[in-house]
Amino acid sequence: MAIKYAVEPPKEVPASLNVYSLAPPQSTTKYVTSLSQRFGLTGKLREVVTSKDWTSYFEGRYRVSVHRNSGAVWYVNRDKYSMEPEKDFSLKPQQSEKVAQAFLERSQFLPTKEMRLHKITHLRSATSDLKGRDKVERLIDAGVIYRRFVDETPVQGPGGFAMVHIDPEAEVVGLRSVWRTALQSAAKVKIMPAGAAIETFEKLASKVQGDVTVTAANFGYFEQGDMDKQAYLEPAYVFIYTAQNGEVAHKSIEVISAGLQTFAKLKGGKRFPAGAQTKRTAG
Amino acid sequence: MASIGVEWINNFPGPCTQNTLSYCDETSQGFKNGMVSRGHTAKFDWGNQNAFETDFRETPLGGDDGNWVDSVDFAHFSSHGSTNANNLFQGYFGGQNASCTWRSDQARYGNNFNLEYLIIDACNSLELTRNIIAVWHNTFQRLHMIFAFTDLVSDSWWTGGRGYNFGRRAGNNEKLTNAWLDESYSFWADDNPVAMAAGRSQADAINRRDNERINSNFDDIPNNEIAFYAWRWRS
Repeated sequence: MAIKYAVEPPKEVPASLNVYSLAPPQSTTKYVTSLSQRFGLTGKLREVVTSKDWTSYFEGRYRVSVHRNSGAVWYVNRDKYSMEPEKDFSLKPQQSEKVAQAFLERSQFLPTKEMRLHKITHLRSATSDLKGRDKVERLIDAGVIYRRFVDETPVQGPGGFAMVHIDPEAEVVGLRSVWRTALQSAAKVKIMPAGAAIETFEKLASKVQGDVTVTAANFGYFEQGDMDKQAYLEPAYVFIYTAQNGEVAHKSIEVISAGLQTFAKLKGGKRFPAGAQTKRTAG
Repeated sequence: MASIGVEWINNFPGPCTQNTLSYCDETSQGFKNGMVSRGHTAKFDWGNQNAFETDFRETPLGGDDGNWVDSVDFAHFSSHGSTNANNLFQGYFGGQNASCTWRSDQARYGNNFNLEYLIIDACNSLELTRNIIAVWHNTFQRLHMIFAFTDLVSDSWWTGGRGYNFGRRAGNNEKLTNAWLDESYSFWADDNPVAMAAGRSQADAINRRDNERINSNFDDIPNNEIAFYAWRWRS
């Protein structure tokens, strides 16, 4: 089975990188109400909802939520976020980016020096009659995504980003970010050469049936998503690949620690393990 | 309160051989956990060899959906999926009971007056390069909405929390389309979720797509009264 690369795998990586310890997430009511002030709210109301996952503060049409495990932040204008607008979204990418950048700078909520524009996505909607004769497609918003850089090294993974939602009126109607605060360097680690990481990945992928195509092969720090706790920001190689096996295709991801010394696992156990199943009989 | 059923397949031994998946249990169990944590009821949870194709097939067409998928309000299916050029979706099983795949042209949901929301956590399940109305129209027999993906969707630990996050928000009576698109979209993994609703008119389909929640009391639409579909996705 040959592995095809639709992208260039990483070639040159630094010889060593700092590993950073990460600040424990804050999600107290005091913290969340204080955070809301960065988004222009007063933070003085008492409508707070706490759950196992999130602490949420409500003020008028706005909600600010912080995840207890990761400190992930979600700011939403509940009246406007994802609403089908009267007029189509027509801002040019540069205009969307300008609005998003201004919002992030004004809020001083994230270190803008550490962020780079990654891409601009759109929420899209469509309607059609049964025959497809009356089909209408529209853009609803722009989702301007910034990725994080630490010491000029990109952060990979489901975390380390901020996504700013902009409506057709050029108003920021939502923001979602997973951006853990790096405290201090815990160590400097030597980096596994890219060739060794590729070899490890190809050994894993060799078990897959069908034609494997690598669609992303990146090096950087790795930040987890909003559900997961993380104590250290460590370097990793990320490979995203598809496998076409006859009529059936699938997509999978391998993340390989890049540091020759590691501090924590990059992949945890099942969050929701299935219980044992007794054999079911047909009929 | 809503009733839910989940079926997930990670292992595909012969004669239903496919690549092994690793986190279909995670997305289905997560969805179930999220819903149950908000007070809803799990009616069935079948995994791997215990998940049967007949659970998804219309009873008069030789299946048994009236006792399973079409007997709950929410059904969550997580496995391999594909939609071919003939606008036929197939979901893949790990055992041959009675077939290795369930097919969209043999699915009729809601005619048991129950299934309202179908979640297909599988590749190409609302595939926008195909004619999704041709694929799914006959399935909407009072079914309200389908939540699925266009293109391929990642099977990985790092994106496996989407089932729980959607279940938690759906179970919390949030807008279903927003919950699905927010929680299942991944710019990193390039996962592109789609939510689709049926309506008696264009405005009705849009309203249902954008505003339906578990407790919003939109009525059931018989298949012969559906005039429009509305769908949303992020890419």
